[in-house]
Amino acid sequence: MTGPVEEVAVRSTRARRWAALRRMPTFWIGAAITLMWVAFAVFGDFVTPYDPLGTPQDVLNRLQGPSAEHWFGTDELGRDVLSRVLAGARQVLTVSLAATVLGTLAGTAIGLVIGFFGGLVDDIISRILEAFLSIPLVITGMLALAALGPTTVGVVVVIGLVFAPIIAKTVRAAVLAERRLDYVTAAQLRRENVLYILFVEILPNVTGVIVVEFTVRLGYAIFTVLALSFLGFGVEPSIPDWGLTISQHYGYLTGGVWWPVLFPALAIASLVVGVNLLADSISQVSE
Amino acid sequence: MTRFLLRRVGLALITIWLLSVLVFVGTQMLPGDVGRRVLGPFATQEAVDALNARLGTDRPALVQYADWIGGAVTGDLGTSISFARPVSEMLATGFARSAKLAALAFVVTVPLSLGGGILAALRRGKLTDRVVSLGGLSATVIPEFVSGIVLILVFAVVLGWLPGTATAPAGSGFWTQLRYLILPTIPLVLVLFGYIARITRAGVIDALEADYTRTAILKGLPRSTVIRREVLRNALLPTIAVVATQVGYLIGGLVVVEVLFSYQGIGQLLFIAAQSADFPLLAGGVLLVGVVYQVAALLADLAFSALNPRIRLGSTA
Amino acid sequence: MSRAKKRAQMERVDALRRRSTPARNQIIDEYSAGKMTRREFLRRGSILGMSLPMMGFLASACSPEGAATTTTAAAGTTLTTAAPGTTSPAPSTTGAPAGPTTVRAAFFAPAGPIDPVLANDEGRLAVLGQTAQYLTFSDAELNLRPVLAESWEPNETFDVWTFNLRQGVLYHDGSEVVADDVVASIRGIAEGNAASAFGTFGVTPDSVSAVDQYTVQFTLERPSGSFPFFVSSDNYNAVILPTAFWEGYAEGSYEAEFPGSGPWVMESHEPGVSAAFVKNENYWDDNSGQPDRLELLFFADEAPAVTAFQEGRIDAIPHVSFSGGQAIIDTPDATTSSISTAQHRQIYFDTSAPPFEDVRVRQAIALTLDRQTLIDGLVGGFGVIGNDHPIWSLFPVYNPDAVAQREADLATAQQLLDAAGFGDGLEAPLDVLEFFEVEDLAQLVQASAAQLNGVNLTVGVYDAGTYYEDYWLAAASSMGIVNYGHRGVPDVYLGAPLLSDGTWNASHWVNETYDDLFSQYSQAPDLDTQRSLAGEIQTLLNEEVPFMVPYFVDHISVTKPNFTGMEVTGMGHVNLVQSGFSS
Repeated sequence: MTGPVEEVAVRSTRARRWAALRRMPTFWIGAAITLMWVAFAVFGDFVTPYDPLGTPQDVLNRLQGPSAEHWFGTDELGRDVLSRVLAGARQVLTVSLAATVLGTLAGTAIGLVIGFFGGLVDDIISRILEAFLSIPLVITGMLALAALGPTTVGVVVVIGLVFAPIIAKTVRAAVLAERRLDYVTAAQLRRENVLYILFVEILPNVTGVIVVEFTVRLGYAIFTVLALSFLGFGVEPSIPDWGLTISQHYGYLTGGVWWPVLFPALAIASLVVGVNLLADSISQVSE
Repeated sequence: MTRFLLRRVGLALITIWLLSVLVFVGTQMLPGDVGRRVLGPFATQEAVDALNARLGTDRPALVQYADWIGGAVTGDLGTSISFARPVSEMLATGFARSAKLAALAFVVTVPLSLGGGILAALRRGKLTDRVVSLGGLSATVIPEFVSGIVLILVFAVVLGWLPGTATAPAGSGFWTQLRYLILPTIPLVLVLFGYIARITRAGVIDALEADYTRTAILKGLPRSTVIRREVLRNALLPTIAVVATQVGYLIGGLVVVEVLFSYQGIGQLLFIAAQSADFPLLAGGVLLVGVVYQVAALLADLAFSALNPRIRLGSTA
Repeated sequence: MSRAKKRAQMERVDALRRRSTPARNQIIDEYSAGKMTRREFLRRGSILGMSLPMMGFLASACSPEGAATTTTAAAGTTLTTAAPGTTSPAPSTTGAPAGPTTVRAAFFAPAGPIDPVLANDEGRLAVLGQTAQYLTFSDAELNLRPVLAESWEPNETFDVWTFNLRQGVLYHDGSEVVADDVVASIRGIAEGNAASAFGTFGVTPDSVSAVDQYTVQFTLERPSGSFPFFVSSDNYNAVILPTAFWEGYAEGSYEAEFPGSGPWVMESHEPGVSAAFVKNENYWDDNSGQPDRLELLFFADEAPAVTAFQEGRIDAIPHVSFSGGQAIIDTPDATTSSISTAQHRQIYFDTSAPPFEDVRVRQAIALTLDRQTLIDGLVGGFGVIGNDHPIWSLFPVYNPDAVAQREADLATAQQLLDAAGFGDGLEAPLDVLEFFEVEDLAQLVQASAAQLNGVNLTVGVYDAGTYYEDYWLAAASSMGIVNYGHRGVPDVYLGAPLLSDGTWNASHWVNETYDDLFSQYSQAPDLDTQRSLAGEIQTLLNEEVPFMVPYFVDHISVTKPNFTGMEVTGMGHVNLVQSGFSS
């Protein structure tokens, strides 16, 4: 149990961090961009000017440049690019968020355990982690999706599984520092259940580390999800997805058809920059 | 030194061995029947069984693993299913191509990002710093295929200055090949730049604030001399380690860039292998990527410890 | 024409007819009676091994007065620009070439090792066709051209076919092409790929034998009037290679030397990247106009090929899709040619399990397609509309009176679905081959079907290896799309994909009436009977809808404006012997 003095200290640390965060313009820019895309992901159905999935007759209107009716033009099946870009936020955010949450949950649990017990478990996990990290995430993703079949769930699981040991490593370091503190020793003397000590006593004191790790990983997840969908792994072709839309249309670039490629590219650029500005501000404040 | 070296090499070998197990398990999970895949849907079952027996794909997994890893040590990685050529031969050609692209990316990135990082640190908080830091962050996080697409659009399609594909015609000279590699190199440079510049900046700032720097300044040495003698030498150490770890990210980026620019290096081979479930090529390729990464990390550690004797005493695991 | 001259001509016709086989006389009769157009007569004569000069003479001598020339007059090609005809195109003689000429063409990346047994994709067959040759060549106008076989003829019952080889044809290594090589080649391919197209053609390892050094005989399990097509370039595996090659054959061993008798000799080859060839100086045919070198660049994607074309790094793209080639098709920087072909995307239903077990459900989906919109939107109008059977309207056997064109009719479709008990909708996978516009077609089929209440198809797109192994004939695939390349006769489309025990029957469709119709059709000796049976087949298939055929796709090629003489076929063969640059 944390004492009142420590509680105040935690709260004041949080307040100080928040105050510092509020003064950073990059934080606000990042938050604004991220929130905008989150809003499109949640409320996209109400704001898209056309059905992102289109109708079979649309194809007669294929690859039309930007106009008053179609601000971002139409794609190779005549569907409205603006509607598909807006609707595409949902796909990438859902998948990346799910993968990061999975990785964070698993990683936190592993990190708590190995940090607390240390020793051989620690060594083995570190070796496996090192082996995993020798391979770029995109390649691990391709390998796993080739093996498991390219599905959206597969993308979530693969990224989550690769993230887990990375996050575990960070959490482990934080736990190592915590376990020598008095409140842990006190709990052990009280003969508290190990799980209780891990999840009720230690966990609240390492949340800062986990939040930072989460935001940083989210950035990587988005990067990887989009790279995999660009390579054609894991997305049904009619689903509005930015990476997939680019790979479906970059062949038309040489013919001067730039709109179904450039607009999703700008969407990706804005989202990754937004999320990373946010993550960067949070980690700077935490240091 | 010898003990450190042995320990470090030993760790790298253990890691590679673990990786080989992971890769083997991963590729063994690939759906389907290798013989059927090679011969196609029309072949008779007898023909498929015969081929499986010849390829050895009907044996227990452990025997197959022993055979594969035994071959890998002697440079024999089996035969590619989709190309019917020795995997090692294909990987060698692909590796040479990718190495060209990667080397070009490093040659451009390292001075650029070190310079950028040092400049940003020296002008800390000023506009230059903001531009380098924010620009670097944005460049690092934007996927290579996004920047690659924009580059193709601007320089190949609209302006027509540079080719939009990376493979130069057969028999081209050095300069022509270089011209074809310019556009594909830039997305890799962008991703590497932000990261290395950031680490350099942090290293230089630490060094500037360190005691030895203050002492040197107090001793009355000119600032530029202090920076040259003390700050850079100390700040660049961590950067070397970082540059080497970027080899891994670079190979990841190569997959996307090589596919986008139609360049048959290791990245595109891996992509083709994953798409067509070419088990031997995929396994061999991933193993090679892992070995390259480990070798780079090993060299970085050795360089780091040579420059900084204190590290040898501590653990680097 | 003077009376004497006319009598002399008739005497010569009689003489020719006395020496002709019954099969040949039959078509001469049909032609004289006006049942066949001149073009059709020439085409069928070529199947039966009649020589072109002889047919030309008979065609004018026996020309019926006012013979119907309209019904099947288009049995060849539509061209937007000059394209190769029945005879080899004239060599480009404009301007004496200065120094050696090199032709550079973009080919599809071969899907695996170049191998006569394993080849089943356009990339491989097109490369194979540069170094190796077939007995006969099935050209873009549905004619057979003699290649290694100089002439051929059936017996009276069409179950024994005799081929006379051209004498003195040499392989690249200097040895001669002889009957034993044909036997070794046909056996090698049939044994290595037993259940393949070969089997469905009725060619088995035991059906071929050498009569003498230059004569080969095929004894068929069932009669066929179209057999010469089955050992032509249409059956792209059937290249003739030295016996020694077959004795040492292993998967991929072809790539060691690229043996053959073809116009090009292998110079270098980097799998998946490029191949270079030099002119065969000992070629059996006149190849004085042939370029000195040929460079093939392989592209897994069309986009980089188009870019390379625009940058001037290649002279020709022998096959490009409408969507992939949009940047250059019909632009001043390229000459665009197109030929009508029987190539089609077959959209099949698994008729062995719900929901598509019920014919009403299949009809309902078929009624959601707006076919003309698909042609205009997906292939830019480069196609011919289809009904739900594979008999292309340009095949001579096509029966134009059999079925009316199926149009989109959502109201009827919904009624059919309601009646079948799927009024609330259905869910099914639509697993398709990654090929040209097929992914787009799948999405449009998905969107079309989604106009019915609650019909939800999930599209999966797979590379050829994965698709053919895991989806195509698997029961897991409820609906799917597969590609059928061009053939000179529809027999291949009607056999393996539709017979109850057919090896390519992705629909798992079992129908005894059909099996019986097909057997009658394939043995029918004359065009009239074939056409009437084809009409029954068209009606039955269109009603039963084991699969849909929304359109037949044209084959589009682009070349540099000053590049001429490239010959392509609907099958994907590319002949560059007579190609060259005009000044």
